[in-house]
Amino acid sequence: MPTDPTLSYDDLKAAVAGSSAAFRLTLKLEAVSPKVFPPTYEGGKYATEDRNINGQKLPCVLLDSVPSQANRMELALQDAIDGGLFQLPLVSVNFAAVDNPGIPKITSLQAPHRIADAILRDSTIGEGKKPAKFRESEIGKELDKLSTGYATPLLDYAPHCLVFGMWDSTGPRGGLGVKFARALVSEIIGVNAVAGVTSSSRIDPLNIRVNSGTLYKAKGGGWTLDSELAEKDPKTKKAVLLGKDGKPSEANHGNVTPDLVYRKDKNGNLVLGDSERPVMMVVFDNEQERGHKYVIRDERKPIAKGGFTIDYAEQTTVLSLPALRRLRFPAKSGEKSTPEGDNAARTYLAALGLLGATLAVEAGYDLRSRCILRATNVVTWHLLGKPGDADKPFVLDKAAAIKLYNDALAAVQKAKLPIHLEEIILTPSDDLVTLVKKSMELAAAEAGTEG
Amino acid sequence: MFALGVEFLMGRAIITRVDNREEPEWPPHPDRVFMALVAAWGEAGEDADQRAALEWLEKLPAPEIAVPLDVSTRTPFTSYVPVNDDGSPMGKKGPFGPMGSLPLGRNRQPRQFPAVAPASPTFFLQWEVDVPANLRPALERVCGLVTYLGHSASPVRMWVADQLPDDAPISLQPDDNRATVRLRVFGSGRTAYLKNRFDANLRPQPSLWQGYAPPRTESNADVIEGPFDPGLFVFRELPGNRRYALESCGIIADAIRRELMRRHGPNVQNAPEWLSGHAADGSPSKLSRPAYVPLGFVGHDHADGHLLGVAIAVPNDFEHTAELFRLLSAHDGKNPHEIDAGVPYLSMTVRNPHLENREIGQFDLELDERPEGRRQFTLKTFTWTNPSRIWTTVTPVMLSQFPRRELGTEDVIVKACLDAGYPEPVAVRVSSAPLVRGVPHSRAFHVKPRGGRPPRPLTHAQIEFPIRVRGPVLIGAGRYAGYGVCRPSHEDQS
Repeated sequence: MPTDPTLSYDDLKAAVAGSSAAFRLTLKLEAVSPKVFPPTYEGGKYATEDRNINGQKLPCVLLDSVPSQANRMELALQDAIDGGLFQLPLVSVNFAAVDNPGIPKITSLQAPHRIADAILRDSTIGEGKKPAKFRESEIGKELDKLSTGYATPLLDYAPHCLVFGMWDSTGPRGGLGVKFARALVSEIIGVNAVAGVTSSSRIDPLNIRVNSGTLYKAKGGGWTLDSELAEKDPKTKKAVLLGKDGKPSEANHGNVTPDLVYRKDKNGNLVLGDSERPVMMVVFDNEQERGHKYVIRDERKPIAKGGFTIDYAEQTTVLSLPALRRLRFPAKSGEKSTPEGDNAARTYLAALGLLGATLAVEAGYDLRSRCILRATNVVTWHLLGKPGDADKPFVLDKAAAIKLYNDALAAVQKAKLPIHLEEIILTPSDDLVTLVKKSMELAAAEAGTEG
Repeated sequence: MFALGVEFLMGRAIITRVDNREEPEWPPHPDRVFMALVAAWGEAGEDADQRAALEWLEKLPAPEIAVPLDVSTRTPFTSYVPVNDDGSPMGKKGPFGPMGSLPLGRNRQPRQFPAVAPASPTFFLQWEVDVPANLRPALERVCGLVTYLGHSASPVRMWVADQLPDDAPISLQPDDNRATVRLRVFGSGRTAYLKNRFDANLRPQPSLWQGYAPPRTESNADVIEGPFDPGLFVFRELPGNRRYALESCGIIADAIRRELMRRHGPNVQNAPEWLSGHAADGSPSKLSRPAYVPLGFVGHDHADGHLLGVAIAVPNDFEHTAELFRLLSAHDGKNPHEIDAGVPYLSMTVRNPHLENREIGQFDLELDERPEGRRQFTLKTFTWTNPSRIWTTVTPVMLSQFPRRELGTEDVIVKACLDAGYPEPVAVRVSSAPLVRGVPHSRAFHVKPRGGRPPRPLTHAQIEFPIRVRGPVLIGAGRYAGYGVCRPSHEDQS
């Protein structure tokens, strides 16, 4: 069987320069375990829909949303950069001052709003007594001039913002700040999704019973069975119970009776029925005795939350080429761009998008707890031209995607467009550091009391 | 002809209604497509040729749409997205929870991304004109620049097509009368308006609204013509009258008949049978003749059944239409409504036979010559003639014989349908209570006394024919005199 050609730099450049609409990847994935657990939204809801697949209407469920896929691709890029596989312009904030191993630094690939994020905005650049605020620095002022006609500063410092989208909503222009729509969109759905039920239970190896004793909150933390050693309520002078009622389960001991898992709203209450309104039934009871007795019943039942079994999952990723064609890259603000420079920069962005998607595929699909997928086919992108024209297939693996990216990067450099490959490191403002420190302490304290 | 084709490349669309951010917009409105074109033109450098193409496009009438109406809506859900105006990881109630891989928390706000999965990812806007050859390349280029429709997570490709594919028939046409959905369309000046709003940093306002309806599926093969001509003479009530309710259908019909007989000549005995309704020997006529159909305001939330006008339905084989029309126009032109002589006009004194024929008021009518689209729904011809399998009475059926143990009311109505020249119904449901909103109870109707004999029974009914029947549907003994007038079921039209 002849294999499809690998996507080369020349193919990509021709596609970007031409009039093709998009690259699309349709990847079939299989669930590793028989059941998958999609993300739940407010009210414990799953996002389900019907899709018309091969002429058949099949129930489907959303397994990974567009923003989530973008974050996974950005993380995959970050991991590969950390591994030294290639270079990408990045701006990062160094949080070494916080003294917490969790956040040594946050890069523009990790911050939610990318280079326009508040974390970067509230940081400074450079040395000296009074270092400049990031958005007031040379780089920051360049960002203020951004538009589709002058996208060069983003190419220079954070090109992924042009691929995954960005809105400079808190810059000097506020809500009117520049917006770049995402060029890369990806989503994973589970096909022929049949809802299931799942149960929860815990068997305590020590077999501690509910009645075996009352637990009190001990002085200095932890719990005790001795009411003398317990904390005393300042008003009633009585020993304070652990948790609500002092049961062993408050200290995570004892059995949990097996039961089905039900949907709960954000307050932890069971969600009843599918409709928002309660379904009340008036039942005529005791009819034979002519007793006019009405019984009102709530016919709603809690909704089981048990994941789905699926035939297969499908990832659809689209890289829109017109979105990239809108961008222009003059060397300086106010100047005219050259067709060669524009095309080199657009091809580079397309290569970056394809690389992000490829790295995310290679990183696997451990989407969340109990939702692991794996690809069953080779990654084959299709170049979509005009409707009616046959789609052109291209395969792309990790090595080829990195080579494609590096070729595109070299072309940008050859076109004499600015691209800053050395990581720019910012220092968070003292106030931000204090906030983060305080937040970490509070979070740690809360975590301690819960156990 | 040409069409603009749009394909949702993700197989689904995230697209929000203009009036409800939690619901998806489907079908996609033509103006949304136009705005995407203008945005593409603006962001790609405002090419002059492309603008000329857009300004040509905006002047076209509302397009026909080939769009799958069979869509599945994704479960609506709320996402919480991190805000950017405040980067603090601390909230009022303590630190925010960490976000994904980022150990820092952030205030998050609810957002909706309503999505639909249509049966097919492609839809078309079609016009009956051709793209001028000089504008076509620019129009194709600007279509090729469109990246998404609705939310940026709905990438599309767009193109100019010369014909629709076989599997994408027109599913919606501009039609205000039968509109099932109202869509935003663009109009002349839209390009300049959008550009000006953008330059002023303002969001655009929604544009014109246009009613759309599925194309008429009438194929005459499965429609049976009724005994009456579907072209009704519709007369509308003129100002200055008292209000008449549907209950007066019989006396109004009688008043019209008397007025036409008066115009025919002083000698009532000379009036032809088709006009008087009596055979030469004075017995009720068996000839088919013009029927006077009361047009009551019914079938609407605020309907109260009052008469907005009267229609005259003539039988298909009626030979005296010219004479009838002459009588309708034969007035002297001296009237408070300044209706010229020769223009169909009726002015009658209505008498109530139940009140010793006392005058109860004046009723003036003129032929409604406005186009159908500009009339009230009740005065539109198709409201009473659209082919339908199911017909429901607006005025009760006057039964020609009394129901008995072995001859149920339903059977009498089946016979009445056959007698009147309609097919045999497959189902009849009778009810004394009204079956259409705004219609009075059957007991509220006057029945003409029959000289000592008991009045004929009246009943409302819903009749289902085995095939679609074109109206008007008038059945029962009083069908020429305003009774047994039915309305087609509008749910059964498609």
